[in-house]
Amino acid sequence: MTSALDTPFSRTPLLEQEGESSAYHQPLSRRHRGEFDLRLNLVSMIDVVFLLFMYFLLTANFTLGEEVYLIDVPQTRAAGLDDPFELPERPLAIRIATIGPGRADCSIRIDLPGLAATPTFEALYRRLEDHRVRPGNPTGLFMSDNPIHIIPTPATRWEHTIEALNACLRAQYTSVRLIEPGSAE
Amino acid sequence: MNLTPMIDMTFLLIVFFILTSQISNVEVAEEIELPEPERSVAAEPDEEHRLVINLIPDASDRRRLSSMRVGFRTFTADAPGRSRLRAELLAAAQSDPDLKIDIRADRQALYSEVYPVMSLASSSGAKRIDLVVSATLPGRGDEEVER
Repeated sequence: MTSALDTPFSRTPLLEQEGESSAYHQPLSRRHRGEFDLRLNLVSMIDVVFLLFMYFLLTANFTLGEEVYLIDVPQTRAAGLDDPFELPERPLAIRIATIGPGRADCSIRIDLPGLAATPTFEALYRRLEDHRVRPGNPTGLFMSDNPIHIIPTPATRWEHTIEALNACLRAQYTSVRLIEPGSAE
Repeated sequence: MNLTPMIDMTFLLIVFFILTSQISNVEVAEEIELPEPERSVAAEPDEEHRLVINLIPDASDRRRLSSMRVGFRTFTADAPGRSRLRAELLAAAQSDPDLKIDIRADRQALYSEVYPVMSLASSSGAKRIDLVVSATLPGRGDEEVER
């Protein structure tokens, strides 16, 4: 009987080889015997997968489907800084009132002679846009930074207030404020 | 297969989801229906930390407020509740000079109910106040309207 060591290039069956080598020699490694045992360690792989999962969960940005309008916070001005020759800018007042349960049931009125009530917020936007001074419209009535005061009645719904604010900002006016409800300003 | 590390990670995930779901419920009150203006020009909120004031509508009359919620704290919509909210906002503004406040109000709420809270937030010393609206869905309101 020949052993695997006596004929190094021979390929003996595994059972026969293991039986003889275990009897006389130290067992050969599988690689030396020409076998490649590929095994996947699932435990470490699952660990890494969960770690990656945690990483992406923590770093992901969960959007809420919401947007925001910035409101100017009134800043206190120090005494003596006003320019004595600067003419005070008269704010453009827009009065709105809810007149029904529907989304379009709102009365919109601009406090300025010559500008009649506007039936919709789209019309309010068009009117404000038409009267804004810009390169294509140098004879407009208002500069972009002309203050606009939105004055809702106490019973005006919040959605109508927001629509009016949106119309002013959409017309690219930069100084828009929400005023105390029902103010006589 | 060694199940021990897998069970460890599963429990960690469960704890994570429990904690985060609680926080999201506190920050954003689900019972508020935000306004959804047509052709909105509102901006997407930035990633910075902000204090969210939820104006919870009354269940029987959505035009009225039932309470105001900031994080885990709930304030009644009456004068004592407003003064407690004012103290809370003042303390928050003192601890964070760059405080930003989000106001979430229901679309049906009356302006007379929302304005006092806006006024409180404005006088608290917050650096910035944002009004939260529902985001316009992509493609909605993009069609041109005849002049």
